[in-house]
Amino acid sequence: MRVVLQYTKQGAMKYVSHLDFQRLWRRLFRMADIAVANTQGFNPLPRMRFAAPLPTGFASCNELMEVFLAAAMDLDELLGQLNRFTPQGMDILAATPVPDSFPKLTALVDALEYSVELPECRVLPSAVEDCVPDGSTAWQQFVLAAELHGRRWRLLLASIEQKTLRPDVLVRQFFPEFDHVAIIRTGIFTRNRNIKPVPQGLSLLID
Amino acid sequence: MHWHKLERILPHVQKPARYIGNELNTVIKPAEQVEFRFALAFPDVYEIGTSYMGFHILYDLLNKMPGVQAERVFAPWPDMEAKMRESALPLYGLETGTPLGDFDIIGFTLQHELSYTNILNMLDLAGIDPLAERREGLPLVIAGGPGAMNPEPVADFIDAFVIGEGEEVVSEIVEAVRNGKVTGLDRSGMLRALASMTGIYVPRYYERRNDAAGRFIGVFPVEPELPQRIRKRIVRDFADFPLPEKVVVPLVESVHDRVSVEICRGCARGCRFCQAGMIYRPVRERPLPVLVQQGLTLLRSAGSPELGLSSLSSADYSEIEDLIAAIQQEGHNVSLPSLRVDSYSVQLAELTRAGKKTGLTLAPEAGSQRLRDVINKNVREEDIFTAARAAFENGWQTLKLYFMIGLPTETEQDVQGIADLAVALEDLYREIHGHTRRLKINLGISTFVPKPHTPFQWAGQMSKEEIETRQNLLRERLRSKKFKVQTGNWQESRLEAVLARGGRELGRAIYLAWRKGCKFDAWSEHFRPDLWAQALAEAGVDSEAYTGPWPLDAVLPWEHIDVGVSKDFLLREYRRALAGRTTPDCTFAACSACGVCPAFAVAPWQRRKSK
Ligand code: SF4
Repeated sequence: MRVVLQYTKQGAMKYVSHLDFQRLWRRLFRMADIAVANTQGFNPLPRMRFAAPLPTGFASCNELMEVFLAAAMDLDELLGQLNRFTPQGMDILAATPVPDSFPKLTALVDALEYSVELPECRVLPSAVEDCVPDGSTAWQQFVLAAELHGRRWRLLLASIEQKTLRPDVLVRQFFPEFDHVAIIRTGIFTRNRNIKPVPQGLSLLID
Repeated sequence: MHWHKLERILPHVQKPARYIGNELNTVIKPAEQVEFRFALAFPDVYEIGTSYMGFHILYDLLNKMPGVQAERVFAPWPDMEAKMRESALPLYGLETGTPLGDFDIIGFTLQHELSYTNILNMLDLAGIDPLAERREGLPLVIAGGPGAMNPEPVADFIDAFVIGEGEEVVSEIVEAVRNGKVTGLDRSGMLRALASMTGIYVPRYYERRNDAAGRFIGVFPVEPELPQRIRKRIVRDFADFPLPEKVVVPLVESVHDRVSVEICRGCARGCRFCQAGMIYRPVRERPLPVLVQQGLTLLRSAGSPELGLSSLSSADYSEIEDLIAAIQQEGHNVSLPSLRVDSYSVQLAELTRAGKKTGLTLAPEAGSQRLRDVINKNVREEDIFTAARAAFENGWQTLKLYFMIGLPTETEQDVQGIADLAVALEDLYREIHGHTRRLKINLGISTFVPKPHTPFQWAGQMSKEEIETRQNLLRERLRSKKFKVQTGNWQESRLEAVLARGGRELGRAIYLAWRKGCKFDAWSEHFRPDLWAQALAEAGVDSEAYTGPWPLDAVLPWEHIDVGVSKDFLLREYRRALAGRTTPDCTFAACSACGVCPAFAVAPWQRRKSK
């Protein structure tokens, strides 16, 4: 049974590296006694995939991963079981079943949304305001939106063939005076590529 | 406050998750319920410390005591240390972020001599004076573990040592200090109370004495009621002593991704260089049903894929095969961390392999039969070959072999024997498979360090030249790509010997070394032999005096520590070693009268069947 899980990675948990976090997920399923299907091969691993790795140090209130359960089960029960064990800062918010024919989660990601909290109010440099999705510089092609409201900077960054831009690169570029900004990933988006039905967990769409 | 500062630091350090706590299965009590704080301090980095089983046991025991909050703390890596100092963030317990200075007890474990400077550094990072005599009030700084079997080198920094097994004594210590707080005892009152408890050594109540000629004659109590010798503690009922149902699961990948149960304590094989084999006697086993039940509980509560069956010699556990089968039956992997060199062990390794492509580890320790007899590694040439044959025939392609060089009586001939053995094993592989395409033989070559309470405690180390000649000899002879030779740093083993065999006079040198910036001495990238040499010289310590051979009638700096194994036995064993005579394992053959069983009034081991 293929399931997409939506979850948070906040507070202290944001300092856990992607690799360690994957290990933590495997443990959580074992602790909750939920069998996960294994990958093929000599060194089989539980079959799970993450929509887009979150760099160490970034929080997220909206992460997605998919997992192949060894047997079908009630999804409310799944959520309840897993949430009994998650450490502080990690909450599993929703579980959505998806058909096996559904494309890989990683292949669906077209954009990532971040909220950057600056220590002080700033006005956006025009370079960013002017930038357009098909801009010429390497970083500009990734910036789909960059709106600064007071101290909060909303960034929508494209993911093109699983390549994207780290928001801290933009922070360093435009606000080098701040050595500490909090960055939260707020959404993972996909274009509606005529996939029907669009599963709930992936309902954040641009276009 | 704590978290606010941390948030500014963590983005700038490697592996920040080392410093956040928040792991699965941590215990955090509501502050209003906590009246006593105990810090379990490991003087090395997080990943090393979290795989140390002893802490998991103490953590569980302490946190089960009402009102007690046990927290863990590890040595911050130098990048983190710099940031902490810069922002005046004192070292804190991982569970609640409480600064170490606000604890009642800080308990260090002494697993390795080369982590001693980290103890001073951690205390300093907590704003606590590393020198015990300059401290006031709480916390008390205590220490245990194998290093405490010669406490003298770190006696200046530690208020009280736990000698022997900590499971029972730790709660007694907490009770004593807690009572002391209630009745208004001051620091020395509390320490005096601890000094009168069995298995606790409080160095301020003991002094070193010299005779008229200035020769060291031992360490003696300054008050007549205190014991002359401190007898180590052992757990009264090891077999039934409750094990934790859950352990903290590290967030940062530790050395091994597994949980462990201790299936057996002590080892009577009697390798003459091995400190663990002497200080953890007598040999005791846990019953099979207890281990199966505990193992499965732990696996579930840690969400772990693998159970380590830990002991000094796992294959010696009476019902090892049944134990492996019972755990595997529930769908879990099993690992055996320490195997003997024989075909039975290979059979066990085969049982636990579970599709893993890891290598097989064997530790013959010495390259010639003569020298293996000297060190009492009861392994015959043919054991090595039958073990290797069994391994190769079962498809193992990587062999890890551990050897020691610089052993007492060793000649270059013996070291040639290591190379001969490796080459012969390569030939054996070729004979079996017709080629050696996939074969890898890794040789870990460490340097002998004489350790307190072992038959080799009197033996000296070889000179720099002799060690380097031997290391080069092996590298030269084993140049083929089939072999990988890893040798230790000569200077590190020297320092290890000095710190292992030193007396209280070493305290000054350790202090000076730390002041000069020494820390993480066991990590080659941080080890600073130049600074250590300066520190030793300034403290007036002649390292040669600690690395050289000692006369058999010398008064040893750890004579006042009684581990139950008698000095007579050690001496007998040393003499047998020099005569090339072996002594059998008393759990399979006759008692060799080491003294432990009568000392602790336990019945000698019922014979095990040799497998
Ligand atoms: S006293 Fe005898 S039986 Fe007991 S551990 Fe020592 S040698 Fe073995």
